[in-house]
Amino acid sequence: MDTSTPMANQSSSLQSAKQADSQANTVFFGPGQAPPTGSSQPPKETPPTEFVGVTDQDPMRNFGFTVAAYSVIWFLVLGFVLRNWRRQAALENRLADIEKALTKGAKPADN
Amino acid sequence: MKTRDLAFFGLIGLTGLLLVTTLYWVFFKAPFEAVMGAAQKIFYFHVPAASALYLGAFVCFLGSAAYLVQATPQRDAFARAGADVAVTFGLMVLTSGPIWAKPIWGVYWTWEPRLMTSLLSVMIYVAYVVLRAFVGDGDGERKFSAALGVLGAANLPIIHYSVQKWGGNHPRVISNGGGGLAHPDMKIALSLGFATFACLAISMVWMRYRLHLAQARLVAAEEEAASLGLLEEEA
Repeated sequence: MDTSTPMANQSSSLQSAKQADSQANTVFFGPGQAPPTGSSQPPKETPPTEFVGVTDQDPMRNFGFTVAAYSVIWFLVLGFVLRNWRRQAALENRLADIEKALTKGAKPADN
Repeated sequence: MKTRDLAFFGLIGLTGLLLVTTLYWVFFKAPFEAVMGAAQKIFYFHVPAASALYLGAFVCFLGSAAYLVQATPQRDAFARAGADVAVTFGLMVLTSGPIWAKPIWGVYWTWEPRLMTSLLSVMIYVAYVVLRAFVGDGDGERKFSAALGVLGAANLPIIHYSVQKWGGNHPRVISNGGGGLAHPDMKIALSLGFATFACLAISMVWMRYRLHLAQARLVAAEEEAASLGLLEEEA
């Protein structure tokens, strides 16, 4: 499983980048002042707001995490459906027995 | 076969078809994302699962509010079905999210607003389900859980707007302020994911509704049979 952490690896550089931005703002715009609209990049620690597709990446990078996530999702769906199916069948059988017994006035069979 | 049963199995067939199409599109058509690689493909099921959580929670809210107005077994079964589905999709979100976070953030979990509010919401619906499963099925329990179903929905808008109001690490890609998906095949994959999970959530609510209604019918039939002396009383 590939456990490379592209964004996590950048975390150490985020602080220095933040300081650099802060210093730039201090020099050019004064302490606490925001730069004019359109003249600066968003802060580097801002979470991504766009997913850009590329076709030349190693397709197996982080693939193990994808497989794990999909396995969990479909295991939950399958478990939900199978459990529901079995319980529904058991309930319908029991209900049919009791309704039959009510109609005939006899004791229902024990399940 | 009744028309309703036909519609039910038709919906399940449509869900299966959409699921296969979505998986094909996600893995064979949508390109890999520039920074995250294959891990970003979790996005096409993680976000639709979150929307299905909202759908289940909304169904629970509707059923619960309707039950509080006029108590019927159908309304109670509808609310329970919504809560069951909300828990299932909530677990999907809370497991697929950390698995995605590990290669991207470097940690499985971080205490930030969207994750916290999502966890809180899922815990509310887990409480609802546990209450109904273990405490009993009397009128008091039904009313209490209906109130929980109504109040639990209050957290849903907080989850949605938590990123916008309080920031945090959670990315904001397709909501307000997000840059969106740059490649058209990514957009198609996400749209298919939403369609699949919407159909899946509706199918699961329907399944669960049938189950809870059958349970209610069984309880009523057992009471009638017991009153006629047709059932042996359990010691």
